[in-house]
Amino acid sequence: MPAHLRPLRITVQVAAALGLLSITLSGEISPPWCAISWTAWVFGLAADRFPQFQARLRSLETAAVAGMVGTLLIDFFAFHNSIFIAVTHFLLLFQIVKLAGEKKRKDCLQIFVFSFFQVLAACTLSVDPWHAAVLLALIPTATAALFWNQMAREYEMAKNDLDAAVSRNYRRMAALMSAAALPLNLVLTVAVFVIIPRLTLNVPVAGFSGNQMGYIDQINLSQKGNLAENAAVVLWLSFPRPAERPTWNGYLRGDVLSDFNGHSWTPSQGRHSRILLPDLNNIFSMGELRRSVRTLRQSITLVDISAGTLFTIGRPLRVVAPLQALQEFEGGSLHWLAARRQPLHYDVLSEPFSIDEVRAEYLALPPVPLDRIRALTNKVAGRGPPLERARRIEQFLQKNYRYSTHLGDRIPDNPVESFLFERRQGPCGHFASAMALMLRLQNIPCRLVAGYLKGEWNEPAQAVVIRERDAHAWVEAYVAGQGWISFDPSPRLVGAEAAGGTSLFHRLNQYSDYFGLLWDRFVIHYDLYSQIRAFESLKGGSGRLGAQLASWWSKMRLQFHHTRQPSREPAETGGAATARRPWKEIGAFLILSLVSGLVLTRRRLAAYDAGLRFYTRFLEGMARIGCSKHPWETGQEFAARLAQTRPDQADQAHRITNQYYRARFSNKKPVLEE
Amino acid sequence: MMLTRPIRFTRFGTFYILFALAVGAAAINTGNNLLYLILGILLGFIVISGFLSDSALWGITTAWAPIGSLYAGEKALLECRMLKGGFPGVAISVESHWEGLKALYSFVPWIPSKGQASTRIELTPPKRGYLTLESCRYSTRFPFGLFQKSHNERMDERWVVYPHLYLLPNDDLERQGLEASPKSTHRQGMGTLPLMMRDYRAGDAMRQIQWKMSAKRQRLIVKEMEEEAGQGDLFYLDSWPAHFSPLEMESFISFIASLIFSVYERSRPFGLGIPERLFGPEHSRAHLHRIFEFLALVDPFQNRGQGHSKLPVEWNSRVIDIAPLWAARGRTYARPS
Repeated sequence: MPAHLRPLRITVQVAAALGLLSITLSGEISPPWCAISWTAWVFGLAADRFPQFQARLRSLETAAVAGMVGTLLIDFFAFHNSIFIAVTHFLLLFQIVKLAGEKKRKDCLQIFVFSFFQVLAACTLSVDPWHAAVLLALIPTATAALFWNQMAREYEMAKNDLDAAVSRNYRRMAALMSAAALPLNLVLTVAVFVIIPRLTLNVPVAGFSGNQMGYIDQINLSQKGNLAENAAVVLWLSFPRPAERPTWNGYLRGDVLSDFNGHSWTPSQGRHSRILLPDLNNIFSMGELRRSVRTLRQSITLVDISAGTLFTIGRPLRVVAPLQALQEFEGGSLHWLAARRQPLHYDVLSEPFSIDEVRAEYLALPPVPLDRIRALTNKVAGRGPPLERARRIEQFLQKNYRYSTHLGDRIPDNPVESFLFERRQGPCGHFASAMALMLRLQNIPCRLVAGYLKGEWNEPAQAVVIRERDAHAWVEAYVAGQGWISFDPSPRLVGAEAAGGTSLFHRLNQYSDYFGLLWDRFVIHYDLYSQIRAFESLKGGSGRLGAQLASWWSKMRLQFHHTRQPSREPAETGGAATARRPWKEIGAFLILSLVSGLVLTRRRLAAYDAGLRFYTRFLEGMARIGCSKHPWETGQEFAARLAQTRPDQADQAHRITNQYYRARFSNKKPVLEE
Repeated sequence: MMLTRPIRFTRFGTFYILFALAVGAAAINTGNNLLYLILGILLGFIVISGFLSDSALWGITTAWAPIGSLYAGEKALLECRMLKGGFPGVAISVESHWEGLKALYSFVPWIPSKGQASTRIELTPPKRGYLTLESCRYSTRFPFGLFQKSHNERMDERWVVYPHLYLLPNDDLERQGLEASPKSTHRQGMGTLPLMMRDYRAGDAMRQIQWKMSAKRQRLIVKEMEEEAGQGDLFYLDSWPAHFSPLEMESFISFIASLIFSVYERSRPFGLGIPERLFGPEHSRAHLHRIFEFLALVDPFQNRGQGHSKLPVEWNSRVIDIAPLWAARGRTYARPS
């Protein structure tokens, strides 16, 4: 292998690892794809030992590329994968072929370019702070890869190979550049990131669809299999007034579902809604503030915006959000109207209870057999006021049924009946559905609420982090005279935030989440408004600094003015007040300067002993007679040149140079006489 | 010395810029901050590339010098010594432009910071006279090959190219007594000043053999003395040929130079008398170069048929007319009427 290709191959192998890591971390590519890619990467390290295989692969490369294009088309059209997934599969396949095959300079460059595109594709597939780390690592790797590629190209053109000395110099240069490129590029990247205006033109481009839906505003009971836990962060909830945090009951409302067809809950078909527009301060008003009702302030950073819903604690009264318009549905659920692709930060003022009206659909029963359920309900609820009956049903479900993420192995015909009498276990949606149906059978108006429950307190961020796995469903029942009251029949951990523990891993995990929040807030969420705010604060800051400087300068001027005119002051002021003269400050400054100067000079003198000074004087003398030392010449070279041009000075020059060398480099310093 | 600094996109650089523009357009269109980050990184690489490539070229000074003498039609080596201050010079391509020649390229992989490196180029001067280095272009694609940045330097340096030399056949030289006969030298007595050492020929006196040298060289060596060889040869041309074409004239000058060189090689003093100038007999390398430089720069067509050089009266060396020698080589040589 030519010497100039070796460092390039190592560098692109690192770049390929970063690309694969990025793809793997995105979690969007299936494990077999990742496994094959990593296997090819490992094989790539030792691929040069199989030249016959590489030659065979090279001859099949064109056919392989055709096959990959075919895979891309099948991925996109037959399997209906998004264009990003299909392109990522294509990139992975290409990378596999390249890593396993012969790696000449162009192949190495292709591997690097594909690695870069893999990082890009991974960033497009999922927006995680991990990608920031990968991008950071990619900068020095890319610097080294591009540098070695160019050097290899130069040597290819010169039809030469690296010699050991030049190779050593190049390695040093590559290391230096990679180390320097990271901070420099970061500074430039931040500058570009901060300055370039966020126009967000949103010109549609054919073939590029929007975000995939993750959260849906309905609860489907006709499912089988298992519910996979998803630890992705959905939102951050913080309380501007920390004292209010204990008053939070742990529920974060999203959509209100009132239509039940026996299999799934959906929002009411004929539900009423109204459009809300913000005032000049971006404040949306939903209702009147009542003095008698306690309100709660909350600040929410919504990371996953796929639902299009504003989650709030209780019923929102005021919302401050950078949105054009909001749509309010029954039960106070809020949706934004315009398409949005970035995380949303908003502040809410809410009250704990909903007071909206009761409608007929809150008592509607599904078209499925309900005899067994009715009998059970009558037995469980007994007689008494609606609230008592509702409590009995809630407690019955909490005590006699088990929470499970297993949905069963078959889809039942009547899911609620199956849950109550056969399976007797299920997720929160089944519990909430069963209770809602039983309440309606008891003629108590009720509805389902989809949202989130509790979450985990994050100490560094001083906020509650809510993940996908915290998604929850519960019931709101209307009790005459008391309004809508929440019931949670699900026997999940209620009343306390998920216990996190104090282990190092847990702390690291918290910091990782916090880093994610910072990433979302300052990188992903950075928009035109943020830019304007940043520049305004910068302007304000510089203005304050300028004002402070001006004030300090005017003080100093005044003091010096007084110092210069000492005789007039007592007369002008009637001798009542004498200006303070800054003799102490001036004296201190002078002493400090003197001491600093002495220290610096002493250091300098210590560095230059007699021999060195003598040599400097010798050089100055030589320069005066027209023989100046060139900056690239060593002392010995200068002495040799001098011996040729001025033979009369040769002995002296050699002697002084030797003394200088001894003074500078030898352990045995010359004595003063020498 | 005048410096200009042009910049040119490489093919890779063009793709890179187009890609950066596409990412920028996508970022502005979608408002996706990750695309802004990637755009920032891409632009950052461009800035770093520009800074480093400029540093690699900044402060380069060059000194050109031929290695040995230059002869028309003979391959020659020229050394370019490059000095660099500050940042090291990395992967510098040197493109030199010569008068009457195609541009020549060489590659310097590394110039140390505040140090020097050298590169050599091989060229064949087409004719005698001056070889002029018009300009020099130092370019680099360091560090990433996105751009080719270069410095153009006006040089206007020149070196003298001597006439083309070739070996003259011994017959021609012998005919004029320039080459010693294969017969032995039988002369009375020996001179006092040593002239040359040569191989022993049958019939040479035993006392002439230099035993020490013979032992060293493992063959018999004879020492010839000064008086036996005389005071050298003066080649004389009373006027330049009248009807020669430029090509023939070049050939004629080349013949004179070769003649002079043949005598120099035989360690005899030599001189040259031509219409413009007279070089007295002497045997030294400096004398050879003086004559060659004159022959390199002489323009025979300016002084054709004029200005006959006069021989010094006290000259007692052998005077050899160049014209018969030239004619003996089968060329026609007509003196001007």
